[in-house]
Amino acid sequence: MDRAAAVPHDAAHDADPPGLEELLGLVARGDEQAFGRVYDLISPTVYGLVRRILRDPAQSEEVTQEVLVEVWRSACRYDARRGSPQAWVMTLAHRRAVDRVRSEQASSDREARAAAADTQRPYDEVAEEATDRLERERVRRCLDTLTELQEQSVRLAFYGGYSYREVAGLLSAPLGTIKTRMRDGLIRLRDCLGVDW
Amino acid sequence: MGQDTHTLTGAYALNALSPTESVRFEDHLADCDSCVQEVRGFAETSARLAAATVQAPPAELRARVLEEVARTRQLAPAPERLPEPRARRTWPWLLGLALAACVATIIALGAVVLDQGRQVDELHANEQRIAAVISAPDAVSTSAEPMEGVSVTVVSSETLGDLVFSAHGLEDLHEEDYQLWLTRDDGSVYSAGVLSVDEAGFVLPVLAEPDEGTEGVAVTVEPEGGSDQPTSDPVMAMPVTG
Ligand SMILES: [Zn+2]
Repeated sequence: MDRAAAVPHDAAHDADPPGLEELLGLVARGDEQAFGRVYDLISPTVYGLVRRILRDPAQSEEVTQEVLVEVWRSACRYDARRGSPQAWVMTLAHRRAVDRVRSEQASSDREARAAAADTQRPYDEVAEEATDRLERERVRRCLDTLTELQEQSVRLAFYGGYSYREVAGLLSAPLGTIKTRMRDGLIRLRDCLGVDW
Repeated sequence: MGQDTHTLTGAYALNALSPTESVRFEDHLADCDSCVQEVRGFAETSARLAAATVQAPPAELRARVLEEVARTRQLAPAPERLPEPRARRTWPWLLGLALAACVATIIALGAVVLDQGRQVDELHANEQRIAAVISAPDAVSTSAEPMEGVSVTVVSSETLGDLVFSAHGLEDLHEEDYQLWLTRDDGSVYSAGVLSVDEAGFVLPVLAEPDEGTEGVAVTVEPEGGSDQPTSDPVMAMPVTG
C-alpha cells in the first residue's frame, strides 16, 4: 500500500489554504489527506459540543469518532446552497449526541445535565485560541440578550440535549410556550450574532 | 398541519422534536419556503453556539478516526434524480432532501438483511419467495438511512423479478399506516401494500413484483388500511438498483 498519504501535508506553500467547503469537496471524492485537514479544522468544535452534551469523556470520544466518520462517509451530502459546512457538520454532531443521550435515559445523569446546561457558561478550555475566546464572548453576550425563558429553553435543548417536552417539564411551562420560546430565542440569537442565512 | 406548525422551526433546529414530529415537520418544510429559510438560519446560529464549546479532543483520537476512515466505504452520489411524478401528485422533495443525495449500494448482504433472514423464518405467506430473493445469487441490496435511526433496505433479484423491502427504526403510528409505493420512471406510482411495524420499529419484509419501468420505492403515511393513491408526501424514498 502506498504510504504517501501518511506524510503530513505541507500547507505552508499553499498561497491560500483551502477552506472547509473546498476540503469537503475533495473528501467527497475520497481524498483521505483532505479529510485529515478537515479533522484538524472541525474536531475541536465537534468534540467540544459532544462533550458538553454527554459530559462523559469516553462516550464523547466515541460519538466524536462516529460524527467524523459520518462526515467522511456522507461528504457528498453536503450542499453548499443549503448552508455553511460548519452548520452541516454541527447539525450531524448535535443530532448524534442527542440520539446518544436519549438512548441512555439514566435519570440521575439527566438531572446532572440539566444542572450543567443551566448554570455552566461555555468554558473549561485551558489553551484556547484568541478567536475562540472572542467567539465565546460573543455567544455569551448574545445569550444574555434573551429573556430568561428563551435562554433556558435554548440552553437546555442545545447544550443539554433535551426534547422540548422535557424542557417544558423542567421549566414547568406549557409545551406551546416552550416551542415559541425556542423559536424566538433563536431568532434573537441569530440577529445578535449577525448570521446572514 | 395546524397553523402553529411554523413555530416548530426552533424546536426542529435544536433537535428537540420526537422523530415522528421531525418527519412531519420535514413534510411541512417541503411546502414552506419561509420555514426552510428559517431552519437554515437556525442551523447557522446553532453552529455558532457550538463554536463556543471548542475543546481539543485527545490526541490519539485522530489516528483512530483516520484508521476507521481508511476502511470505511463512502456513500456514492445518488442518481441525479428520482422519478418525478407528472400526474396526480407532485412530491417536491423527492428531488431534494437528504436521502436522495447519497445512497449506499451494498453488494454483500448486510446485517439488516441477516436480521430479515431471521424474521423470514417465521413468516407464512410469501416466506419462500422472500427467502429466495434474499438468498438469490444475483440479489442486489440497496440501503439508505433516510433519517437518523431509520434504515431501509431493498433487495431485488432480476432473475426472480421480485423485490423485498424492509426497514427498521420507524416510529409507531396511531390510527395511520405506513404504505409502500413503487415508483415508475413515468412518474406514476402503485401500491405495494401497508407496512406492518412491530413495537421495536422493525418492518416485516414486504415482497413486491415490480413491473417494467419501476425505478424506486417510497413510503407515505396514510389513513389506516392504506389508500389507492398516496395522500401525503413520502417520509422516505429511494431508487432501486438493478
Ligand atoms: Zn412553515
